[in-house]
Amino acid sequence: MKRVLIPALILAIAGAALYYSERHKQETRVGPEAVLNALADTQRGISRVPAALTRLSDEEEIRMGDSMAQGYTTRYTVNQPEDAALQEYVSKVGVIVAAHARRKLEYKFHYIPDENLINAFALPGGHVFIGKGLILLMDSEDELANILGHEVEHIDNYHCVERFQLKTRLHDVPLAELLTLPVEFFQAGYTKEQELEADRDGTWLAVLAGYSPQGAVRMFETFARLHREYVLKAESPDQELSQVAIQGIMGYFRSHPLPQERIHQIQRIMAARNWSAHPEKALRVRPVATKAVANNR
Amino acid sequence: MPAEKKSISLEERLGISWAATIGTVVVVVGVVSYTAIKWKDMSAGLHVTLLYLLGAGMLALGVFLERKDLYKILGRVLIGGGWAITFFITWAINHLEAARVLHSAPVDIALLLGVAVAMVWHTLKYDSQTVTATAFLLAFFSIGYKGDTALSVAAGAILAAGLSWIVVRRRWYQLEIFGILAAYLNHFFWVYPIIDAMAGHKVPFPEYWPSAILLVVYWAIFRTAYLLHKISYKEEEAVSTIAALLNPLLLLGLLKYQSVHPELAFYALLVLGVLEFGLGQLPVARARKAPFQVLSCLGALLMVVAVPFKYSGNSLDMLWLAGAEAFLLAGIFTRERLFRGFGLIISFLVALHAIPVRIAPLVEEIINGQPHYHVQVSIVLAVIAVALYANAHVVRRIWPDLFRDEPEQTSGSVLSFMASISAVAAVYAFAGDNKIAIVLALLVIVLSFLGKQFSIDELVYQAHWIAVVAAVQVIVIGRTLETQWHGVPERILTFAPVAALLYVSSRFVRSSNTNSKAVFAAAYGWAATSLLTIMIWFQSPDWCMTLLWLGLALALSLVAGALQRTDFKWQAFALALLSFGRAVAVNFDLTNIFFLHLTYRLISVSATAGGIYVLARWAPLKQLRPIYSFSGTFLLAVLAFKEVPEPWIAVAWAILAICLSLAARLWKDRALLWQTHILSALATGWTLYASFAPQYKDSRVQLISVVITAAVLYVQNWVTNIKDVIEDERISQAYSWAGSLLVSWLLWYRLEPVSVCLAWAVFGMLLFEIGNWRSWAFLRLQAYVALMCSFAHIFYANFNVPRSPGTLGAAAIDVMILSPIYFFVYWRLHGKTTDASAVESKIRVEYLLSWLGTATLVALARFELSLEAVVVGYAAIVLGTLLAAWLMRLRVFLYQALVVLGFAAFRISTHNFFRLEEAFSSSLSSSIWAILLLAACVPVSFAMRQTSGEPGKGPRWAAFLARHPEQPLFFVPAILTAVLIALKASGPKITFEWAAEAVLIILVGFFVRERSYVRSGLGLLLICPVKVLAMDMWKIHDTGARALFVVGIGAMLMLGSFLFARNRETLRKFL
Repeated sequence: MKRVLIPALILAIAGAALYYSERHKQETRVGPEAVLNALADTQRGISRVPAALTRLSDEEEIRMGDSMAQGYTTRYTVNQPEDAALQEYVSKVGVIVAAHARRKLEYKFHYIPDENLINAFALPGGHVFIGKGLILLMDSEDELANILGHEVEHIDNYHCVERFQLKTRLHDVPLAELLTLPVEFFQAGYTKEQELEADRDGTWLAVLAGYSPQGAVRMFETFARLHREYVLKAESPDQELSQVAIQGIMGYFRSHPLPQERIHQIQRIMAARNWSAHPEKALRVRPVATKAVANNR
Repeated sequence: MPAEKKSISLEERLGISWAATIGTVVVVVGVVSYTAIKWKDMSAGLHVTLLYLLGAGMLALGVFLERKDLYKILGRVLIGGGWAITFFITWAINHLEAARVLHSAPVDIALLLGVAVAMVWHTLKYDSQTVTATAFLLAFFSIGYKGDTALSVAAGAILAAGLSWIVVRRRWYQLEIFGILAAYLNHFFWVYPIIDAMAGHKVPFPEYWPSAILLVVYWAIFRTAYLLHKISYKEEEAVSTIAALLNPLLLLGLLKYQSVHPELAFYALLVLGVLEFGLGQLPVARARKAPFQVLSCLGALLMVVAVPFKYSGNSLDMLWLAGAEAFLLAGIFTRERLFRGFGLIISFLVALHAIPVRIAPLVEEIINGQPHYHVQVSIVLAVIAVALYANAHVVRRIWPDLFRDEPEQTSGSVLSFMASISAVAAVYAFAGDNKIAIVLALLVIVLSFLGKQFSIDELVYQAHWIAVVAAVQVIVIGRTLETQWHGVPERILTFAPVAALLYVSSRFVRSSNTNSKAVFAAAYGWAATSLLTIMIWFQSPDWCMTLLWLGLALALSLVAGALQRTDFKWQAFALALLSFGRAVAVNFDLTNIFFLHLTYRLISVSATAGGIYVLARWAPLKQLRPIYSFSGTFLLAVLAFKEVPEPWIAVAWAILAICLSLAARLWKDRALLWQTHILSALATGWTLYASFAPQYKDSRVQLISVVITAAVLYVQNWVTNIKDVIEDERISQAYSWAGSLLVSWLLWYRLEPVSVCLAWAVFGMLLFEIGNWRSWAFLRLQAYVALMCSFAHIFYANFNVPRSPGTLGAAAIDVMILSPIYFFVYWRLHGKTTDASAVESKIRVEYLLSWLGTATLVALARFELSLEAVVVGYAAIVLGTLLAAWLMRLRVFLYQALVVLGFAAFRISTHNFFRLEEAFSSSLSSSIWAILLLAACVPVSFAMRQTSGEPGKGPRWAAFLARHPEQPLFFVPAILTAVLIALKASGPKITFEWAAEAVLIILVGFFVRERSYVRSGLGLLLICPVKVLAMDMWKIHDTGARALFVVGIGAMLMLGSFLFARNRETLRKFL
């Protein structure tokens, strides 16, 4: 009897579960992302203890970061009055946000006047870069603050410097050799757990600076919409046109967690900490779009 | 040692004789060349003197050396060379400008003659062809090198005469051949510059007549010598005959080369022919017989050849033919073989002449499509054919004793063959286009009948090629023959009689005595059948051509059965293949409607396939039957592909396959079974390709077609398992694999991605249950694959759903149910309700499934819980698996607990411990909960401890852990606690808390009487004072506090001491 009842029971439960999952469709993307993320996180976990034991000094990290940043900023010139104003604006917001970071470094914020750069990234030592393309997707200062907070936390949590410090320490590679690393090495994103960590702590920095956490949520919602459009096939000419701009964010989504998961995390923290979604401040300086990127907003 | 001697002799010959000869020749050539080039720089007298001295020196040296055995050959060669130089100088003193010291040509010729005579006289002393030949060779070369007048060449005639005299005297007939070649070539070198300068436009030149006369003189000298030959051996006669033939041939060749009066060719040939023929009749020639035959033949031949140069037109054929018959009959009546030979040869020439003159123009007209009706020509050719047939066969049958020898037999065969050519040409020149093939076929039947009746093989062989011509003719004509005769297509009236006649001829050929008669008879049958096939091709509508061919094949098969003619069966086989090819190439495109909704394609191809299946019964070889059935099946399969809508094609194939497998079961036919396999594989592949195409997504068509196909495949699993027919049971099992594949594929396509894993797991479980019930290991293997795929799929679909801790989505629910399914199958296997197959034993599927169950839970924890709580999930799994291991006495779960314990330790130390300081972190609470859960495992682990028994397999450390799970399960939480304290607390607090932990460990150690615990607790406890003294104490700036701190430390130490003292006895047992 037991031999019949048990499988019958399992089958009944399984049938019910199947019925449930078919009725309550849960959107997912079939692919290896979960496994790859888990592998990346495991790899980071393995290197975490050695990384903690072989930290570079802040001076070394700053020296490296300054050198890399200098090389990168020479690619772009900020001549236009509009670009100079944006540079100043980004620096101002960034400094406010970074004031509450654990590592007391001299954080520097750089505006890159390139519409194709729909990305932000950090370099070791305190340098944060944000592209014009990404700012064009924003409409509030809170969004900007949350993005800058996110990047500051990559520095604050040693995510940037950990990328090469093990090589430096364990393999006795001179720092000068690492200065030749391309900046794109830092633009490619981090592990899923590192990104979630930066989201969480970056939002906290923004909140401490007086910005709304809703800025982070809305920014991720924009990413979610772009992600859907990027992943799903375009079904109209308009969507096809916007695909051109979306190609630029390929790098951003390459290793970041799904936007929906990031939104859930922020919303959970907001609920746990009783953060109110107070009104956001509009961007005080707004870049002028010359391409279709602005339509993505 | 004769062999050795022979060997050495050969070496000597190569090294001395040949080397000397070649060396001498080279010297002479060099001297001559040098002389020719540098002559102008020296006075003529001086050079003449020098060269005479050289020649004399060589002669003297040669004479001297020749007397010594060792240098005999070298000496003879030097003699030859010396004479050659002497001869050349003698010639040069008159003929070369630079050396001219003598101005009288006759005197010079006289001198040359003298030298030649002296040379011959001298060389003959040595009785050596080598020496004499060398002398003559060099002499000829010397003259030919710079000859520029006829008189110069006349010296060659003198040489030739001298040489011929020696040939006759010494019977050196090989030397004669050499002399002929040398004389004529020498002459050629003389006339060549003259003729070549004319650049193809020959005009009369002064030396023409001297040259011609000189050539005739050569001929006369060598012919006279030939007639004077005295033959002792057969070989000598053979060599003489070659010389005799070479002489006129080279004469005529050179005359032709220098000819500027072509009109004289007839007379030259005629005169030479008469002369040769006349010489052949001389007593001296008849006495030796060979000259008589050779010269008579030559003369006759030259006379006959002369005629075309003078005459042309029809009269020539008849004239020759009359001559030939005259010679032949004369030869018969006089019993003179030679004349008979002339007759046959001239007959042959008549036929040969007819080819370019009569037949070639006719062929050209036929090829160009021009009218070729020429009664006169046809009559001439027919007469030639009759005459030649008569000469070849009638005469031979009447006077067989005269034609027994092989040459006569061969010539008869050749004439017969030529007669057949003339006869065919006559037919072409006489009959209308439509009737040629029929007349030729009649000729074939007549020849084959006569050949069979009178045992004349040649006639039968001729019938063969004429049959080929007839077949080609009927095909060529039939291609464009569209007219009708009284309502009957003329094409049928042409093809059918020819085919019929060929079929009948086939019987005659089979009854003949010719070689390979069976092969040729079969070829006739093939040709006839081919003609009927082609006739159908030309005459039939497209759609029923294959059916008519198959009808013909059926008729042939029936006749083959009645007449025991295997070749007809082969023809039927070819027709079946042809029908198949035709159906493939043409019938599949016949999409017009025949009636109702049935297309011509459906009707014709299905009927063709049926016909081919039926014809398999009369296959020429049993081994060929599969070809028939494969062809039929192929046609039906492609027909289904063309006629049936895309998603139903696989269903149609599957149904066809099951029909074939039932037939295979009925008739025990392996070929049909293989067709079933192929069709089923195609059905499976096509289902995957077509039914799952985007346009059928979520459609009923997809569902029904895939289900039917899968069901048929499952049924095939039973139907194809035919005892003694199927090679391997695994083939039939493959059907169920294919069915399962389709079902799995269907589930994958139709369900939500997150549901697929559960659906596959349920499917796998059902397969397992059926396999278990029926003891079908292959179904159980499919179940395992499905279960493993379900496990893999969760990582690609379910865990990609955004993590939302605190909520339970469908994706997580589906994954949660997987684990019980895996454990259930494990439980079934563990219960040993069935015998495990070899594969199951090999992959240890039982353990694999239990690991899958636990791994699913671990993955669920890893991907579904919040990042911090993952470790709690791991710890809970450790506890759960450990309890399962303890309660159910299943050590596999103990191993799993230990592995997951490792995961938990890794996770907590690389994740949670790094987030203890953060604002929203639940890492601390998660870490504490995890450590507590792990600590809760310790009592259970003691229950699992094995203190005796065999050591486990694997590495020593792993075996130790398995036997002593209390060690890792205690120390992991203990170490984690110590680290947690170090990370969370600060300064002296760490020391206190470590000390407290150490005491607790020691107490537990005593309680459970575990020596390692006590030792580790002591170790930790001892670290505390060291830390205090080294670090903590100096961080306390308040000296009082610092003192109290030290006291506290001391107290702790005392407490420890007390405890040890109190438990000394117990401690001794441990320590």
